[in-house]
Amino acid sequence: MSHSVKSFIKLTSFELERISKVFFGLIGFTLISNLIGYIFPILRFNQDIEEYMISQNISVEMAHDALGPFSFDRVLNSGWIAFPIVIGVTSIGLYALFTWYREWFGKNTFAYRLFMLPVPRTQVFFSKLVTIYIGIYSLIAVQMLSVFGGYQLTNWLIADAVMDPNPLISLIHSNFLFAYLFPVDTGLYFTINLIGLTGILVVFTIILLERSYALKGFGLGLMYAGFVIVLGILPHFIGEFAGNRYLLFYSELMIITYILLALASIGSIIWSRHLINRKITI
Amino acid sequence: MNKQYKLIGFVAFILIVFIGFKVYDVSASPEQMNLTVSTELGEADQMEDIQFIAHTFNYTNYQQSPNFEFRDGSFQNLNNQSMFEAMDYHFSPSVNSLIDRYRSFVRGKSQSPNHFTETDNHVIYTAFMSDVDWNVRGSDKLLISSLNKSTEEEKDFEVNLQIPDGSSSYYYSVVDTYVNYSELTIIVNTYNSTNEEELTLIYEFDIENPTDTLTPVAHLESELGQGGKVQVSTNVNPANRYIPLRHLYDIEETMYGEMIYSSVDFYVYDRQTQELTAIPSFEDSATMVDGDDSSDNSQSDTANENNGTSDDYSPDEMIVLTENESVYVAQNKGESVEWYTFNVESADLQQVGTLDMANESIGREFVDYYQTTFNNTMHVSDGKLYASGVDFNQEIGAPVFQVSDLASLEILFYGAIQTDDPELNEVLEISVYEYEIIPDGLESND
Repeated sequence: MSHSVKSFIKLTSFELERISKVFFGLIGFTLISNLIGYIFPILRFNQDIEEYMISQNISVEMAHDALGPFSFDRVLNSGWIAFPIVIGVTSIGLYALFTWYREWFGKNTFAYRLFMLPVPRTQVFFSKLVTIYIGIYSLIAVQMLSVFGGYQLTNWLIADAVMDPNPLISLIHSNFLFAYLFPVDTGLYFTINLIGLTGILVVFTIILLERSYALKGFGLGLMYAGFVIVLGILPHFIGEFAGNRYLLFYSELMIITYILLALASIGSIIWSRHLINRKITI
Repeated sequence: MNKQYKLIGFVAFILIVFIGFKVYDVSASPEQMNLTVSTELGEADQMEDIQFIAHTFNYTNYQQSPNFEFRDGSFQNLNNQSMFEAMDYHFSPSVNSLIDRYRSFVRGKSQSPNHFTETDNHVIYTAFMSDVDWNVRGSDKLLISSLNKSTEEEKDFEVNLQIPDGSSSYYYSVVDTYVNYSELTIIVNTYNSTNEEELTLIYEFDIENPTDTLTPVAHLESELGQGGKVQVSTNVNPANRYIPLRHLYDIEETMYGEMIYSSVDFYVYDRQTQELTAIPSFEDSATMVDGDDSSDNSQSDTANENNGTSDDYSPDEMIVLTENESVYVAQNKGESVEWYTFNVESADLQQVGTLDMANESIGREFVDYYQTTFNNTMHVSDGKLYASGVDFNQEIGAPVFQVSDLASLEILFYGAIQTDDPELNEVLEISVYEYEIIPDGLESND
C-alpha cells in the first residue's frame, strides 16, 4: 500500500473516530423511532378494529372485512420512519459545515496542526468528504436493516389472515422515500447521488472560500452556489426561453444536466484544491 | 491497522448491507410477467394492425404491475427499457414510432398523437403555438409541417386562423387532420372560457399553395343549429372522404354539473363538397329493407323520447363509421349490431345484415374525457371492423378485442389480453390506453 493511500486511510479513520459518537447517536435515534413506528400503527389498527366491532356490534372477522387488511405500507408512511430520515439528512448537512469550522473554532486551532501534517492537504479535503459519505450510507444501511426487522416484527404481531399480501420488496419499490434512499431504481439513484455529491462539494468550496477571503469569500461562495444551482436547472428551462417545450427530448435534457453537474463537481474540487493549498489562512 | 477498525467496520457494514439488499431485491422481485392474446375465435394475427398501451395492476403485489406496449402483434414490457429509452418514452405507440423513425422531424413538436397524421408518403403535423409554448394562451397561430418520407424534405408553415365574426376564443386545439396530399382538412375546436362558447371549425390548407390566413370552410355549430355540442369521430384513414359527426343537444345540467344530452343526431361532412348530410333515423329511412321493424322503432323511440336521464338514454344507439368513399351506419342492439350502408347523395340507408358482437358494450364504450370525439373504440380499416372493450365476466375485467369482416359480417377474431398464469389473472387488472389502428401499408416499426 503506497504511503499516500496509508495516510489517507489514517486521516479518514481519524475523522470517523471524531464523529462516530454522532453517527452512533443518529443510528440509535433511527432504531428507537422506527421501533415505535412498527408497534404504534399496529396498536392503532387493533384499536380501530375493536371500536368498529363495538360500534357496529359485529365479529372480529366482519370488522376485518370492513376495515380491510393491515398493510406494512401504513408503517412505512408513518412519521416514525420519515422523521429520523429527515433528522439524519439535516444532521449530515450540518456536519458538512461542522467538520471544517471545528478545526478553527474548537478548543485549539486544530486546523494549524492538520494542515501541517506531512500529507497533501487535498487528503484532508477528501477524508472529510468520504467520512460524510460513510455517515450517509451507514444511516441508509441501518434503515434498510430496520425495515426488514420491522416487517418481521409486524408479521409476528399481526395474524396472516389480516396482513396485506404485498411482499416487502414491493412496498419498498412503491414507497416515495425509499425510492430515493435505496438503490431500487438505478437511474434515479444515480441522479440523486450526483446531485448530493455536487451539493456537498459546493458547500465545501463555500466554506474554504470563506476561510480564505473572510466575508468577501462567503459572498463569493454564495454566488458560486447560485451559479451551480442555475447551471443544474438551466437545461430544464431551455424550452421556456426558446418558446418551445419540445426543443429537446427528455433524455437529452438529462444528459446535459448530468454533464453540467459533473463539471460543477470537478470545478468545485479544482477550486477547493487551489484554496486549500494556496489561499487558506489559519 | 487496528486503529482503523471503525473505518473498516463501517465500510464493511455498508457494503454487506447494500449488496445484501440488491441480492434480496433481485431474488424477491416477482418473475417477469408476460401478457398474451388469448384467442377465443379466429387467429391472433388479426391483431397485428392494432396497437395500444396495456397498464397492469396487481392488487397483491404492486411491484408486479408493469406497463406493456402492444405493437406489431407482440407485447414489449416497458420495464425492460434502458434508463434513457424510458426517459424518452411517450405513452402513445404511434408517437413513439414517429420518434423512432423521424426523431429530427418530431423534435420541437407537440408530442400529442392527434397532432400527427401519417400517410404512405408523408407525415403531417398540425398544432397550435400554445401546444409547444405553454406561456402562449389563446394563440390562433397554427403550425403546419410536412415531411416527405422518401426525400426527407420538410416544409413548415405558420398560419393565422380566422374564426367566425363576433366570436373570440382563448383555447384552440386541433381535433384531427385529414390528408389527401397536398390538401389538408383540419378540424379545430375553440373554447371561450368567458361565455363558454365552443366552436368546431373546419379549415382547408394546401401545402403546395400555402396561404398566411385561413378562413373556416365550415362552422359546425352554426350549420347544425339548436346549440349543443359537436363531436368528431376518431379516424384511422386520413384520406377518408367523409367525416362522421355527432350532434348532442337539448342539454340539461345535473346537480353535480354533469351535462346530459337528450337528443342526438348524426351527420357526415363531405370533404369534397364541404357539405353536411344528416343520417336519417332508422324509422325515417324509406329504403330500409328486411329489418326487424318493431325492435328498430322501439329503440329509436327510446332515444327520442327520453327526457335526459342517463338510465334510459343511449347516445350510442346509432353508429356511424366511414372508410374512403363509404359510409357505414349501424343500429346498436347490444349483443348485435344491424349494419347499413348510407348513400350520401340520396340520403338512403341500405340494410346489409346483422353482426354479432362479443358482448353488449364492446366497441361502444365512451372513453373521450374531453368529449370532443366519439367512435373511440370502434373503427373501420381495410374493410374490417375493429372493436375493443372490457369483459367483466371475471371478477376483474380483461380487455377484449373483436375483428370482423364488414362484407361477410363474420367475426374474424375475438380474444382477450391475459397472462399465462391463471392465478395471476385473478388478481390482475389490465387497462388499455392509446388504442390505435394502423392501416396496412403504414408500418409502425422501422
